[in-house]
Amino acid sequence: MFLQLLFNGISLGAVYALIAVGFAIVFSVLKFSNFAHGGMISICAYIGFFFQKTVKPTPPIWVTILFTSLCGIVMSLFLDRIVYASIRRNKSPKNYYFLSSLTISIIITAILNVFFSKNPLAYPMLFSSTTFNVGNIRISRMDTMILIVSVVLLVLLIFLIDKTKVGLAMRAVSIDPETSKLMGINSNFIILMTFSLAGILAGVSGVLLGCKYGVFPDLGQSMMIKGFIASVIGGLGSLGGAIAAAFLLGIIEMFWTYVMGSLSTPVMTFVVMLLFLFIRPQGISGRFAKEKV
Amino acid sequence: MEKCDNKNLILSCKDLCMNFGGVKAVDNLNMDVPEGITIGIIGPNGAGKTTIYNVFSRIYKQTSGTVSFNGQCVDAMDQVSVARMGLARTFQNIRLFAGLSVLDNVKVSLDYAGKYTIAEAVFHLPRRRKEERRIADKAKETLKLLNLDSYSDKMAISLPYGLQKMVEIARALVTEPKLLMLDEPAAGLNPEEVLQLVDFLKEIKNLYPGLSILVIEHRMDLVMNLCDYIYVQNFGETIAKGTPSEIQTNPTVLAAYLGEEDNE
Amino acid sequence: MNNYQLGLIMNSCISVIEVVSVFIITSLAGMFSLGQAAFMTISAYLTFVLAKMLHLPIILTAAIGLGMSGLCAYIIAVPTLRLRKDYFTLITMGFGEMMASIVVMLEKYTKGSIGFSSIPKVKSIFWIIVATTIAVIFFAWQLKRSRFGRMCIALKTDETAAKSFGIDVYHLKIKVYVIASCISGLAGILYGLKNRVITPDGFSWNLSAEMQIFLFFGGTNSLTGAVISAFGLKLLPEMLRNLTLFGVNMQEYRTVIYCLLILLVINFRPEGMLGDKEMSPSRMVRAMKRRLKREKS
Repeated sequence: MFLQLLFNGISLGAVYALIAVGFAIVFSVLKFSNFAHGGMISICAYIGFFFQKTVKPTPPIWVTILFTSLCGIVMSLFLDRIVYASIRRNKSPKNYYFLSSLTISIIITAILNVFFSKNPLAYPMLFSSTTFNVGNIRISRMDTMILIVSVVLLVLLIFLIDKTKVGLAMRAVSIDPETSKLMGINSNFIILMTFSLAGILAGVSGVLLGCKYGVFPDLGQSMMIKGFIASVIGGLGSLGGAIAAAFLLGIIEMFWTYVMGSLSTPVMTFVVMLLFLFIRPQGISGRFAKEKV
Repeated sequence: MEKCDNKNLILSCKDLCMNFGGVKAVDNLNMDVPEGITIGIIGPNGAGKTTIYNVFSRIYKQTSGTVSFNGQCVDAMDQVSVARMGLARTFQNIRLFAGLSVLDNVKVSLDYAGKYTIAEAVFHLPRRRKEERRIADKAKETLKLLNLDSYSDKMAISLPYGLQKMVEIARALVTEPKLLMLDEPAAGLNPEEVLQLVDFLKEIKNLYPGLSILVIEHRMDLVMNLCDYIYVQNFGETIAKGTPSEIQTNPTVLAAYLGEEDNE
Repeated sequence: MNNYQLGLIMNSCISVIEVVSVFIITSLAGMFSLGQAAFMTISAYLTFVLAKMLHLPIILTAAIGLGMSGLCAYIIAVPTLRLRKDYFTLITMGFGEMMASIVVMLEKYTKGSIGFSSIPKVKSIFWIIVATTIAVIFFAWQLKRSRFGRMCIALKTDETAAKSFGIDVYHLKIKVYVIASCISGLAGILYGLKNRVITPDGFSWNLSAEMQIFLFFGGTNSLTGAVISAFGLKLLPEMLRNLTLFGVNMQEYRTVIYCLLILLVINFRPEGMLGDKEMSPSRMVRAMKRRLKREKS
């Protein structure tokens, strides 16, 4: 049973990690909490759902994921253009980022509500038999697929940020935007890059979450909270911390649910987060995003 | 500073060091600020002058060394406590409070010590009215003393740059601090405004005889004109200290700092 | 006025109280809370559930509810307000989610998502709500004009500078947040008294967000702006009742319309409709005089 729960926890953690990273990547470069990410996930889940349903012959899941990610990029850049760009230009206070990203998220959820109602739509069955056994652990094919896709994407992302020039520039902008501008880094390009990555992550997590939980307007918003919590525990602005915290959160949640039932899980995660802030405010990563004097 | 030994020291620091990563922004600084004396700190950009202020006002905690203010060691204190002990400062870039008028900007300095509670505030009780009147009178008095009273209802950030600098100084003075630290008060002012500022500061020295002043400044004329004693900083180190006339003839200073000025 | 119209005014008044609490947090102290609805949940449920279970008078349980709101606000504020702003926003949001699930968890007492409806009928509820609203606005107005208001505005603009003038930023923020959360709690109790049923959905995350939207629409630093926009925007959906678009009643688009409004405001008038200005009779008279003068010349 222990191994079973551990595996389920890890695969849940992988989903949380995708969401947390999509949130943390925007935070680390642009230093604001992008609440719109939840709405983006919802809308991507719907796009993936209808793509999968309407295109004949039914495309394999990876095509759907690819297509949805592209849509994610387009929407993400579009949002940046119509919403965040003007805030950057006006140099408005941070609360405006909070407010407008929040507004976007609500607006997306509200529109989806009007057109598709609150009832969840189920993704078409992807696998003929839904579970297989390894030893005495029963493993769901869906969870395995989610775990593999998430891990591959996270590894690619870490490679991109740690090893490539673009990644280096992103890290430079995240540490000191002014200086990196002087050093000849095109900060506009980096911002576009950041939003594109966030878009890809929203696209992939939209499809995966849709597969796992069904598609409904509040999907992204409700899962987003877990992403926020993971990135707070991990240390705001740190990608590695967010990933570690997301897996930790997934595993803790699985075990807690098994022992105490699922109703109290949100309370548990919140208390864990608050305790973490009491004991170790700098987060798992220890990299503490401080406001400048 | 033998000649000042008989006076009380307002601020003194011993072997003060402040490192950022590997950079020594302040290196072994020893400084004594006696009561009623104006001290200038000069040096090129990046000499760590503002860092000294930030350590004194406890925005930064020093890497090593000790600071004492008004006879008390302040190493373990935070920004708020030293401010309440009577250390006031201005900032290099003007940092007036945007949403408040000139008068309110000055009142804010007195507010932490206001003697009424939140409950008295929301119910508008008599003690609040009395205190508010006292705070307003005090603020108006200071503005009048500094000839700024005609601007009191204007929004602080809508004033011309030079006036904003003066309001910032007024805001620092209203609490009658023991030490006033000015960070490049003349930066960004035109020559005429600089003259006004010098008069303004001289006026302040007359009005508040017990007040010690620290000035960071690039303009030699202003420093030479105002200060009783000068520290010259370069790359975190004190390369010279002395009275204005001593500094003007000090060969190290001439080479490191005044020399550059002459070339311009 | 008929009952329906009175009901609309009561709704608007409750929304004004909510927005005033957010005004104190955001416009005075510069914090961005997304969990104010949670304090409505705490107060409302404690008040009515305790009143029913222990047969206590509502006024007593309401005091317990408000006290609990303040206590919870304090517990959240202590670890978070030391950190950068974003933590506060995320944690208040998480707190909102947690409260909603606690209500469902304690289904035995709260009736879960069906809603708790054993709420006694109170006489002249209309006047109670109107009077409370006026009182709350008065308190907030006095707070803004007091030394606390000035210190808050100072710390909102520049924390470091505020500290160097002896303002204890951390403790002031905690105080202000606790007070504002009690006001939110008050709105929750009135909401319960008016609707005679409370559900976790009624105090959802969207409500917290709606308050922020109303506030920014009216003007980020203007109490009068916030009050007017909270009152007006709450009535807006009623005006759209008879309009349809694409065969869907416009009321369905309520949230979308709010959001579009706020996006327009952020883009074209970032300081909100009234900006920094307060509307007071004397100011309006002055403005009228100016206008008359201009027309004469």
